[in-house]
Amino acid sequence: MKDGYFFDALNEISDEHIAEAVAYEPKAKIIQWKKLVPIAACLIAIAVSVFAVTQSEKPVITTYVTTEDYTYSLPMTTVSCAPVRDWESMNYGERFNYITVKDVRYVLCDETLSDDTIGNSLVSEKVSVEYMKDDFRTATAEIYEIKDISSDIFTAFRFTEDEKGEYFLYYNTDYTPSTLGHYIDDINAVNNISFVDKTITYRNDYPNGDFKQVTYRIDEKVEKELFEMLTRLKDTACEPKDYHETTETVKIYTEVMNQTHMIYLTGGGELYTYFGADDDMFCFNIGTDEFRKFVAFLEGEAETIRTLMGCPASELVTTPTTVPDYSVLPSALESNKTLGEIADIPGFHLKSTSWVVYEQDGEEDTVYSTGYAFNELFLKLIELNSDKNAIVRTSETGERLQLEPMYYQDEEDIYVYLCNDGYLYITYGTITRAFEIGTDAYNEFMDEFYSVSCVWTPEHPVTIG
Amino acid sequence: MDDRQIIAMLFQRNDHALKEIALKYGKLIFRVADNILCCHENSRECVNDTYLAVWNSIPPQNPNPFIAFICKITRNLSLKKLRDKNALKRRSQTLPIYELEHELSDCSFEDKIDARELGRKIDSFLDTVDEESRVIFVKRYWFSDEIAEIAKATGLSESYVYTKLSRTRKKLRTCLEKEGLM
Repeated sequence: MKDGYFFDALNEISDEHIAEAVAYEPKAKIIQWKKLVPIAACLIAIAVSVFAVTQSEKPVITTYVTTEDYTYSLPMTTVSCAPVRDWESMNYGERFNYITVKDVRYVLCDETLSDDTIGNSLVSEKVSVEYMKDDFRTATAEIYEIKDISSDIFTAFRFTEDEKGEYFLYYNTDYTPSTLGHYIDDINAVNNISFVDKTITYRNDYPNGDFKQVTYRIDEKVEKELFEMLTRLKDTACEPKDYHETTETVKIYTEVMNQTHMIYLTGGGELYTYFGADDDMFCFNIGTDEFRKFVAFLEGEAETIRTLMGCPASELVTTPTTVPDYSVLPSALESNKTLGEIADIPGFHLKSTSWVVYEQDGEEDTVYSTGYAFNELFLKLIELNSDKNAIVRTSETGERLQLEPMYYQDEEDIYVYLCNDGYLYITYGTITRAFEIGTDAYNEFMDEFYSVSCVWTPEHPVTIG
Repeated sequence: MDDRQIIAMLFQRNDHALKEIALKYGKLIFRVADNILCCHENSRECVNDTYLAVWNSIPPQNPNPFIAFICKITRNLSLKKLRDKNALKRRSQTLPIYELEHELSDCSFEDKIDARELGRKIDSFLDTVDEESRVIFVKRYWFSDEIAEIAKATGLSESYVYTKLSRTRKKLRTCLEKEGLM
């Protein structure tokens, strides 16, 4: 395809559609009064029966009770209420969206199937649904296998009474595989899993709240590695376990039978699969070694699309547990020590992990939230320049990056800043010392800085001081 | 400040209008650029170029809706920047638009219709889908927003957004097939 062909095509999207997308607000849940009629009817019925019961009793004795001892019950029958759609306006799938056949519960997936995907007929059953209270509707469901996928998990339903003769896709909500191998065979993973957005995301949340998120491209190599891993671990048993997210996760969004199907790998060594059709997740304990191996493969072999590093700004306001001792700083600066020696002064915390950074270009400040990634970058700069001696110098230019470790919150006299004249300045009160890092190193640092920091926004405010 | 007031200020050649635009739409414009360029420095340049372009084009233009006009300028400037660096093709493979290309990959559209014609067909197609699907589609492929961002902005779950996108792409494919383009 010609360069930018699709970009150019999408340029024709109308202004109205763009404005609509910008202005779109999440919809508040609209109360549909028509749907509430049955519920209201139920409530009235309950109220009437309560009234009838209380009125039929002999003298009403009022007792003041706490919620704990408020335990009596009313002689009522259980009434179930649900919003009801007009029967005729629904197709057969919607009418029979949950069906139990031979004790197996099926749920409708929002998908109809073409004739050529339908396999053998399995069974024909009368099915019924309670449309309204005591209003049971029935139909004859013919259940079919679907080619290339196990009928233990997905089946096709066609209703004899349906003039359109559509095949509806249903998911067996009682399905549980015994092993990972069983699962990949049942869904026929190699043929049926499609990697729609062709990306895989690895995220690592560090204890201090920083994170690293890398998006890799899924190419043939990655697909192969994934399937090899699944096959290698085919004997891993499926465990009944809720999803437990750990600090490291690999998430792969895929589709099976056009249904959202996710594969999560966690640093705890668990592999979860999940179908959008149902809320259940299947957990396979593959072990941490396998997880590490897969992450190492991604890091070494997969093509990186983008890396996000940073930290939620809210983490930056964490109050330090110890108050640093700044009293040593003035004498250290005045004795013209090297940058390495200054950085190592106990209590100075030049190696802090959380920084607030202001970029000053002579006009307005831009505030960035930074974290682990920035700290690594800054420490690298200090390390490379640790032998540089302090000199007395005043910055001459306006563009600079002012750094404030969170530990300096209460100490307004301390400034650390990197200037585009190629010097790192440390100021305490009236004492300022500069360390030459060079303009090339400054520019290189700034390039990397932009890639690991995000601009402060009101949604993620940073509280300073 | 209301968009009409901003445009009125531009007509009066009052440069305070640009500050108002920056205040009201600065972040959105930056996001449009940064989603395409993935480089804060270039994106900021692009945002400044957008302000200049707005200043130069109003008057005589009097756009409505104003926000779409600004976003289109930013998007075009960002794409131009990529074209100038011969990085458009490489970059497009890392952007969400790649999903769309991938879905429609078995057809050489450019042999049949030019990009603008295809765009108009996609635009007409969007009129036929529900508002939610349309908004998600535009956010993903026009604004190049991340799924998580779309989910947050629309109050939907990520998997729901993902499924919606997938279905809309398939519907688009069917629509183009019916038009004999695939």
